[in-house]
Amino acid sequence: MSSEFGYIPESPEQSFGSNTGIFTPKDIYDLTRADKYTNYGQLELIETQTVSNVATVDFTNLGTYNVHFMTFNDIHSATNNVLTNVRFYENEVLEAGASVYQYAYQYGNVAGSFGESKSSANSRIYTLMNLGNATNETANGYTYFYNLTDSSKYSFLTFHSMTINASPNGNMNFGSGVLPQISTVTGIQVLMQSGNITSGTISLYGIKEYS
Amino acid sequence: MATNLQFIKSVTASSGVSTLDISDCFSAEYDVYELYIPKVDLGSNAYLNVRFLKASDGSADTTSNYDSAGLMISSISAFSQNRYTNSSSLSNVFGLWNTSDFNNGGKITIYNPFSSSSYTFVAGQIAQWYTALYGSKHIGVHKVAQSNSGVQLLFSNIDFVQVSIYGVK
Repeated sequence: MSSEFGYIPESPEQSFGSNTGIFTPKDIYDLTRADKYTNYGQLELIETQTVSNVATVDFTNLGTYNVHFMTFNDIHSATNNVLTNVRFYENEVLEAGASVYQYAYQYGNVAGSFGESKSSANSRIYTLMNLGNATNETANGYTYFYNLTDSSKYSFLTFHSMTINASPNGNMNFGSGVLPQISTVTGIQVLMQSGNITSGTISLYGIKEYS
Repeated sequence: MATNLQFIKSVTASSGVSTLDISDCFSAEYDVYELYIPKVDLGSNAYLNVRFLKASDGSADTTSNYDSAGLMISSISAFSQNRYTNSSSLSNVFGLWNTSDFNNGGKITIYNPFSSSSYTFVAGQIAQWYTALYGSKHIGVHKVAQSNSGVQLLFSNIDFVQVSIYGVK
């Protein structure tokens, strides 16, 4: 007789995307904790912060993801024509050295001004550009982070964003940044080039992987 | 079924091979895919090139039907353009990696690879280390209306590469 429909004497091997059998709540709990139960939805929200009149926004729970995704929604600045920035924490200590980060980005705006900006020694990575501070002059965009939690890798990011400057003109920006240190990043700090973040919502997600 | 970013598979390559095939990852379940390339260690400097694997037999499509363009950005050099038409792969637009062990990649979005009635398009953004920060913003198209079942990454002399692909619902 075929054993295709029975699990005796051996239970089928369980893995993400390949679960077989009838599961109790405890089975599901145990398999989920072991990353062996299929739950689709691998863009996992870590934290959303809706802020008002703050100088910095810190995300200090990064989990163990290789890839993180951050969204910036309706960011208002207290200061006119400033850039939004990102810095990292290493072992809970803010990395704020004057020349520790590198960045490169392309910009362009509806008035026809296009160009590039770059630095191999900066105190922060720019991700949202030339933000005005009048009503409706806001910044929106996203950033991907790579290998923040890998102690053997540099920490990279890519971003793409849109802002409205003080003219007011729409600006697009995309680019990359790196903290070129072999280290574990334990947190992400978002701040303005100067002044406070008047308001805005920032969400951090992890991109879940399975082996 | 829940909608979201849905994990399909992770694939690794190591020890001197030059290609990494992510086979049987495309299906009628999804129209859009996200390919993340978080780990790249190479034995020699190389551009990443990309081909698609044909659903008909699983082999790489090496015909000269790939167009690609990218803006190469850097923290130390003037930005530049790379663009190619009728190449045998999506060529030289995903950035140039060197042999640093602490390197990494980025993300490529793939549109309609499994459809037999439309071209396959890609768009993405990558950052890497090559003596300093480098990166690219790129697009590409595979100009064959055929069903593709997978994607092939071409480096030279891979020490270790890890990628993960997801379907977008």
